[in-house]
Amino acid sequence: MERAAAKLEMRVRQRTSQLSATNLQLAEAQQVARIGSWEWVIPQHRISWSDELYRIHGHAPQGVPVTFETAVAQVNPEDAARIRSNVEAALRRAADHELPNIEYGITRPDGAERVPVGKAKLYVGPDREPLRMVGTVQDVTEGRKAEREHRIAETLQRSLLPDRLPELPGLALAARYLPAGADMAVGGDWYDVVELPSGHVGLAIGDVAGHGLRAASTMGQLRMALRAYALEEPSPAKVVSRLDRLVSRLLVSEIVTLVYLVLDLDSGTVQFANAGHPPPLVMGPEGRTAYLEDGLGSPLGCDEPGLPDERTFRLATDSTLLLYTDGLVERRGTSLHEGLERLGALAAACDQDIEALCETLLRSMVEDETADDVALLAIRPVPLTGRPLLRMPAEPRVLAPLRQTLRRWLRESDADPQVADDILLACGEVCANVIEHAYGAKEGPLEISLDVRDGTAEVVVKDRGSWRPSSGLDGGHGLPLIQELMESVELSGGPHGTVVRMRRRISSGAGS
Amino acid sequence: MSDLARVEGERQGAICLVRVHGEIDLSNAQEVSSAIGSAMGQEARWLVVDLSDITYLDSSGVALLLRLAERLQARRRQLHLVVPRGSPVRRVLVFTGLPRVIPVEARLEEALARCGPGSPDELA
Repeated sequence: MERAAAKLEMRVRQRTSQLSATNLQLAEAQQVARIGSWEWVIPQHRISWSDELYRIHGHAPQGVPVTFETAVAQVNPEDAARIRSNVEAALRRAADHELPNIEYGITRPDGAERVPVGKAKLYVGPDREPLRMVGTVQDVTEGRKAEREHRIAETLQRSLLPDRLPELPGLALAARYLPAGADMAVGGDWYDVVELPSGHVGLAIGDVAGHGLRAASTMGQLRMALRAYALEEPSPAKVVSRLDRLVSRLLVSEIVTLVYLVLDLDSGTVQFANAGHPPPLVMGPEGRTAYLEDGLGSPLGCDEPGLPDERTFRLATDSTLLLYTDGLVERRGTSLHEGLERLGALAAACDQDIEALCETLLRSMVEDETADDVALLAIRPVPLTGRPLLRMPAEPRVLAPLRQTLRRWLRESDADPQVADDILLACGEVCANVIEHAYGAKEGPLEISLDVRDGTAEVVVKDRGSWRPSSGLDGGHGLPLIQELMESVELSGGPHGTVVRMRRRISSGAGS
Repeated sequence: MSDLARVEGERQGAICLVRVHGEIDLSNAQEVSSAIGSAMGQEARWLVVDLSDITYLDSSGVALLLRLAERLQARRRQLHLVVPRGSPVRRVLVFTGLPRVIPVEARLEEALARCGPGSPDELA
C-alpha cells in the first residue's frame, strides 16, 4: 500500500514536471502573443487564469483570487453587460458550442485602458449540464490604436484636401488622391486649386515628408497658408519663399516639396516655382510631352539655400498640365528617372479626357499595394466654343474672373481688340449693377450667356432679383455708358428678374 | 490689398505721384481709394494719379476718381490724371465726361508740369 502510494506520488511528480515544462512553454508563447487563457469549471464555480491573462488585466501572475465578478468588474459597464448576456445565452443553449467573439475595454488597477478580444467555448455533460467554459483573451490594444490613428489621419487628410474642384469656364480639372496601402501609413500629399482675385488660377501640389497624423496636420496647415499667401501675392516664387519661412520657423523638422503655379486663362501663361518637387508634365494635344525641369529649388524647411526661380511657359488650349507626387513615379526596384520616362510615354499615348487620363495613369503607374500615397492633379484649358453660359453668385469678387473668361471668348471669336474692350466694359457695368442692386443684402445668381452670330456678339445678363426701373442703370453713368459702348441694348424684366440683352459687331472688317 | 490692383506712392516736393497698376472695379474701388488716400498723406498740394498701367476701369473707378477730386478740392488740393492715348481707360473717362471735371494728361511730364505753384488756390 505504501509502495503503491509512493509509486503513485512519483508518477504524479513526474507528470507534474512534464506538465510544468509544457506549461512554461505555453506561458512563454502566451506572453509573446499577448494571449491569455482561462478556464471556468462551472459546477465548482472555479475560475483559473493563465499568467498572461493576469498581466493583460494588470495584475502580477496568480497575484489575486479570480471570480467571474472580480473579472467583470474591470470591464467597461456596457461591455460587461454584453459579456454577461453572451454567457447567459450560452448556458441556456446548453450544448457544446463556441460563443461569439467579443471585443471589450478594461481598466487596469493603475488606470491604464486596454482592449482585449475574447473567444470562448462551452462544454456540457451527458445530461446537457454545463461543465466547463474555456477561452482565450488577446490584447489588441496596440493594433486598435494604430488602426484608429490611421483612420483619423486618413479622414483628416481627406477633409484637408479640397472636397470639390472649382468649376471654371474654359478649364477642365481632374484630381485624384490615393492613400498608401501596404504599411497603413497616411502621407502628407496634397493639392489645391485657388481662384485668385485677379481671375488667375493658383495650382499647387506638395508632399510633406513622413506619415501619420503629424504629416496630415502639417499638410493641412501648409495648404491654408498657401491659400492665404496666394490671395495676397501674385508671384509664385514669393508665395513659395513665404511658405519656406513658415516651414523653417514654425513647422520645424518637416521637409516639404511643393510646386506652385499661377495660370492666366486669358493668355495661357503659367508662372511657376518648384521647391524640390518632381517636375510637372506638359502634354500637347498631338502627344508631345515635356517636363518643366527649369528653376528647380531645394525643398522647403531643409535649411539649404536655393529657393526656386520663377519660370514661365505657355499652356496652349487643349494641352494638359499634369501635377503629381512622387508616389506616382517611384516604384521599388526602379529609379526615379525610369518612373518619369514611363509616365511620359504613357501620357504621350493617352488621348482621353482628363478624368479618364487620371484613371489610366493611376491604373498603369501604381501597384496595388502602394508604399507611398499618390496625389494627382490634371489641368487642361479647353476652348470656350458654342454658346458659353456662365453662372456665378452675384458678388463683387466674380467680376475679375468673369473678365478673364470674356477676354478669352472675345479673342477666340476674333473680335477686334478695341471692340473687345468696349464689350468687356459694357458687360462689366451690367454685372456690377446686378451685384450692387438686384438682391439687396441677400445672395443671388448672376447668369451671362455669350453668342456670336454673323459677326455680331450678343451678351445676355440675367438676374432673378427685383425689377428695377430701367434696371437701375440710369442712376449713374451706367446706361448711357453701355449704350455708347454697344450697338443695341434691350432691358426687359418683371417680378422674377431682369434681362439685359446687348449686341455689337465684333470684327471691324465686317463694317460696324 | 488683393493682387487685382497695386498702388505705389512717391513724393516729389509738394507733388504726390501715385501710380496705380492693374484693374479697378466694384470689388476693389474702395480699397484703391483708401490706398491712394494713405499714399498721399497730408502735406502734398498736388496729387497726380498715373493710370498708365491700368488695364480696366469701370464706373465705380470713375466714381472713385470723382469723389477723390471733390475731397481734394475741399482741402484746396488738386488732382491730375495721367492716361495715355489708346488706353482702354481713356474711352471710359471720355464717355462719362470725367475730363470736364478733372484734368487728364496723356503723359506724366505734362501732368507734373501743370502742378504749378499757386494753381490749387486759383482753382478755389
